[in-house]
Amino acid sequence: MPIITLYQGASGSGQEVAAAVADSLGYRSVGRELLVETAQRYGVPKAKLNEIIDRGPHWWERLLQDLRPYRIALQASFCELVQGANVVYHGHLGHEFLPGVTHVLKVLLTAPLQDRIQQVAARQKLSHSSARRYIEEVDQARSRRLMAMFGVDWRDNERYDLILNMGKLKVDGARRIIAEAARLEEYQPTTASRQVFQDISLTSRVHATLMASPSIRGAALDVHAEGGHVQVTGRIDHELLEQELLKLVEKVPGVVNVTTNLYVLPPFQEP
Amino acid sequence: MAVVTIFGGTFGNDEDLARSVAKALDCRFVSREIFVDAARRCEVPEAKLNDILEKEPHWWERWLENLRPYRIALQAAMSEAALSENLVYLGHVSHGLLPGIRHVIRVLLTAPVEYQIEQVRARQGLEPGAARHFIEHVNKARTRRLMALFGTDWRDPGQYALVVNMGQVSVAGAEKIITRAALLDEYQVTAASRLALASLALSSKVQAALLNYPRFRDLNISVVADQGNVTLTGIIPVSVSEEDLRHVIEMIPGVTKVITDLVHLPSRAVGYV
Repeated sequence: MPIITLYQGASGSGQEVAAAVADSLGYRSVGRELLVETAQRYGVPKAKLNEIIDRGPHWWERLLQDLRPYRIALQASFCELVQGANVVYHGHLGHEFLPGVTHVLKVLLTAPLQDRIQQVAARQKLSHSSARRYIEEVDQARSRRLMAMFGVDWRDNERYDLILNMGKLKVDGARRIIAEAARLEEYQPTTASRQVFQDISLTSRVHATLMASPSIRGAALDVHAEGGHVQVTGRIDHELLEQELLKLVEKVPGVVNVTTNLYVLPPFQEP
Repeated sequence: MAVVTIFGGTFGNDEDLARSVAKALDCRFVSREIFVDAARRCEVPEAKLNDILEKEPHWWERWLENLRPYRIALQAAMSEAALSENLVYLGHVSHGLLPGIRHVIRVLLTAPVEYQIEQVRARQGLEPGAARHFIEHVNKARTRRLMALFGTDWRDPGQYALVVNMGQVSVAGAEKIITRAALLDEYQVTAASRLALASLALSSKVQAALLNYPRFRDLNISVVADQGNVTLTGIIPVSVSEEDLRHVIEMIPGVTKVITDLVHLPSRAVGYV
């Protein structure tokens, strides 16, 4: 059965829909909290991850800060969570973590603006105009976040397999449509799609492991894994780090062998 | 049973899918042909209607021409068809024509641009660059045309009940998803939704009928129908007789009572309104 990702706006019933789908298909429903929890093992502070997921970077952060380590840590954690399990993930970013894996059913829950305003106003006890402003701010932050992390626009219809308008639809109705889609042959795992998943998973886990190492964190590295063969390319600060890097990579479950293509460039030091 | 409208935006097998959904739901498959008769009845030239459905309005048309008659003709045809039978409509004007009718399930078919390019290449034998250019041109034209006609962006998913990405799913798979949605309680006809559709059909019929009278054709008045009661609101020139207007509308089958809230303005003043 496919991995299911549910993405929703600043209001809505994504969590309820995820729980209903999980019940109906015998899946586990996993939220953002567990993703953040899992990502901590890669040395990324929980508060920082929550900030990135919830708020989106300010423009100066986008200029000053490289969000790649967070993306890699979250992607590695996501792969760990969904590996070998039937999972419905409800929350941000999920639909972008596994590009090219055909057994992922990516669902966006949308709703007419007026419905969203009413929901937010009721839940957070806000006036109509404050609720509207809140939704606009959250949507904008979400746009900035996804653009900064993946270079994509979350409002692009083509990034999802299915978009459901919850304006009229009840949770059970959404559950039935998603379950129907999840049973389609097109979204079932194949040997090829499992391999694509394994490669993405290993690439991100190796990369996240390297970034979690205090001595290697500063290196500019690219990682590519294919069928258990891992290639690490890029710059390291001094040549002794290569051995440490190899040891770390070899310990990551799933690694068959490692090749490197590294060059040494000491960090700039003021005279 | 629901009325299903499908906006095919993939350059692929959209018609196969719509026909297959119609067969699965035991509904009639309809496309642009349902508008042709209505266009004739409303004295909208068929060729012009084809232009509206198929091509973009040029910028000067958007300034010079009132698209309202065409919108009325399209809405009258669509609401009449939806009232008389279960149908699956495939076309590019569906999402704007049955506003507020609960049992209408609007579907948009989308696909990644690479998929669209492949479809266009296969059908028209174009090079990838030319196919991409063709798709961009058609989509831009479609956006302008539908914006001029309905004032909305057809790509906004909020206008549809369901958006299905055909990039990965087969026609048979998409048929199952759409059919499952169409069978949900949420999209079944209720007494209230049928009444709303009947009222929309009647108000559209009244507006379409007025298009047949040169003296009423350009009136910009609001027409609201509720169970046979038709309410007209707005400003009309002194040259237009309210009695004549009432008389014409009372003759329309389905109209039981005409209520008016009309203000006469001198013809010079109307010109400034």
